[in-house]
Amino acid sequence: MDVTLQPEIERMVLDRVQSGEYSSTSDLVNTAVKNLLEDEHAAMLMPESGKPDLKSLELAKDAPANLEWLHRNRAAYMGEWVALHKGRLIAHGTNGLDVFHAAQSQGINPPLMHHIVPEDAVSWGGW
Amino acid sequence: MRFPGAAGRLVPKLNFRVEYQYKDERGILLPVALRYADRETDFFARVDTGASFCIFQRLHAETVGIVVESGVPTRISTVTGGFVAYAHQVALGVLGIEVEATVYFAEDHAMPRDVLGQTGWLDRMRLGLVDHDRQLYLSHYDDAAEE
Repeated sequence: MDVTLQPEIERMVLDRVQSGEYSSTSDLVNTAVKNLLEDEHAAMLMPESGKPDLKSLELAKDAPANLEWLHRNRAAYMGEWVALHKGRLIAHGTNGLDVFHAAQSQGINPPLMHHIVPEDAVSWGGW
Repeated sequence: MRFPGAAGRLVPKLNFRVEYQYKDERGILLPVALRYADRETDFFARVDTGASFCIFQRLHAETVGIVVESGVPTRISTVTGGFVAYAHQVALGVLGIEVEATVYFAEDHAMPRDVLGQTGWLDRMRLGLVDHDRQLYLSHYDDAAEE
């Protein structure tokens, strides 16, 4: 197998070999590729924890618009569940499950669900 | 507690994966994507470092098909009393970082709070906060920590 290294990488390889860290270029390349493949394998076996989640990142981008809607319309929908999407009201009502399904039936799955309650208007003392 | 010089080195500078500007002045509200099996529901939850667990409204369980009472019941105490909640294993996506976590859903439909607490969420994260600027920084605990 012939492998052509980029000049910069070749220089780094030769430096390491000349310093005695590796016995030969083959030794270094074998070690590096083995470590790379093992790391990739370990990453695939890793639990889901901490993995990038693009959908919740998208949700975060929509958050200012949804919060703005809540700020402007809180009083009008007091006591209700609202289903929002990108700062737009999709459905509302006192039965949250009905509201969720109404939003789904309009193609928004999932909507952002928020229960507007009077307690939101006062300071929260924590648990 | 570590002060500059006291341990022979400066307090570390931390790296974060995400920077987020929160708006709400009555708490730190973060958008949450909660997943169970192949179903998802989205809502805002308050970051509460004083809460032992992640506790959510019952409806959120029902929208993803969780039978609330099938979980392990736990009595949650609050300064104004308490309520019963049931533990379930779900995935939580917050600001682009997903973790598997045991969370609690309130038995009572009338419990109106959604809280990201210590066990299940905060204990898997590295969190930075500059409330003066409404700025929150977040990484998964396993992300590279220091510069």
